[in-house]
Amino acid sequence: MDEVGEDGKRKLASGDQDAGAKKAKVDAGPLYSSFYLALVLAPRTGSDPRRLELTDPVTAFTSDLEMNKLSPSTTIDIRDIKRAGLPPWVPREPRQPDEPAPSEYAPPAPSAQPTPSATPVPRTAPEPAAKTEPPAPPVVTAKAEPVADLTFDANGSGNTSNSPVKRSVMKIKIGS
Amino acid sequence: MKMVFSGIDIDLLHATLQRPSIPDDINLNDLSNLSNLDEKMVRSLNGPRVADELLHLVPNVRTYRLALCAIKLWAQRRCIYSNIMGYLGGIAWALMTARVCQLYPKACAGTIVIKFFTVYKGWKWPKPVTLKNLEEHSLGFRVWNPTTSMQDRQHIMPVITPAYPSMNSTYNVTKSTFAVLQSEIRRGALITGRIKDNNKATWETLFNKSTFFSDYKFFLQVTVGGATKDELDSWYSLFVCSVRVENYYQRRGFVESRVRHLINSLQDSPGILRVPPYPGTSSLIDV
Repeated sequence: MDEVGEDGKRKLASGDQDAGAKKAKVDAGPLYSSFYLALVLAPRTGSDPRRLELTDPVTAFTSDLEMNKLSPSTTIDIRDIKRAGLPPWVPREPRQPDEPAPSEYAPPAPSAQPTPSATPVPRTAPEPAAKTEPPAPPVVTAKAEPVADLTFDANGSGNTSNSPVKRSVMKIKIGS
Repeated sequence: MKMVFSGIDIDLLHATLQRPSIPDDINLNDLSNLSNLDEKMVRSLNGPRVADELLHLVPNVRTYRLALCAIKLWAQRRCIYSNIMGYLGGIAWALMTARVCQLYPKACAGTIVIKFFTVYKGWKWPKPVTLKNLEEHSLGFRVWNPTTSMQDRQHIMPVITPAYPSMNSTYNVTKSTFAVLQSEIRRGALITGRIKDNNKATWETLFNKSTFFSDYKFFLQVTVGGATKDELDSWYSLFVCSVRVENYYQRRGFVESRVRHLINSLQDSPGILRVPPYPGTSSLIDV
């Protein structure tokens, strides 16, 4: 039995692609396939919210796909999501009690390696702005705001207000 | 061509040989089969040729196969088994296991698995993993060589195939996936070290499933859509594993993964340290 995902979409487990094709013929609905990239962000240095500009890599990626060679009904949608926003069907394996903590097999500290950058450098005074601001919180709270979904049509066109699909800039704002 | 036959994933390769007929007992290791073939055909033929040669290069085939089963299970459970997504594919894991078998010719399969993690935890990448000296031949196909090729010099975790023309089986590895692979190998070394150390850990722990979606806070979700399964398949194959010949490499052939390009450009963006991909997909139907 299929699980029900977000927006009432019925989800097929990975590997059930044949079953998916059969159902698609019956339901005559479009098919989707998703994959996920994790984003490991640099620690926030100040109190300002982090702002990631992903337009260039995403635009380069989609223009590289040569979508004009595909059927007009093909679509691509790229969006940033937080862990809490992941759809229910992604596998969330529980952490086993016998699983060693990542810190137990973390790589040796960089200071142990004799590199030129490891040469002691006198610490400079913090920048004036840092003196007046409260210290950064120990735990980074993050808020991802998808400014716009990136949806492209098969011709690679869009970006018009009356177009059913749009090419827009995706910005991710992290932080409060 | 990718297919599933009786529940088994199969990559069906095709090559056209310049011969009037193909005998049942054709010896694919005969280099004359490669004459007048283009790079794509040679790559196709190299699948079975590498597998054949690999079995000749390990000291004990039974031990090797058993150890490789364990390594592949571990890699699948830990979500690091996918050449397309920038991790290692089946041939790379096979070559790395075979190298450990060569280093410890008398060891049993369990010891090979333990040594696998010990050896690769301390491996000085990008020093390549090779099973034999690389061959040059008058046929003139390009052999992996970081001293003459800038492209090869950029490979960060080279695992080289033994059959002529030798190639790197891990060209899709990125800075991000390399970090994940290294972390998983260190984890394996820690657990197998404890297993060896008076059973302070169990083999089951080594094969614990990855907690990928719990390990990270932020994700990029890429969803491709099509009206039919064929459309979706064409989309997907174009998306992740298209074979493209670029001008510079026109004579040599060059397999590119667009996902690798996306990962590389994302991880070079300001504020992003790494972009580990999840080596699986999910499909859904919009109703």
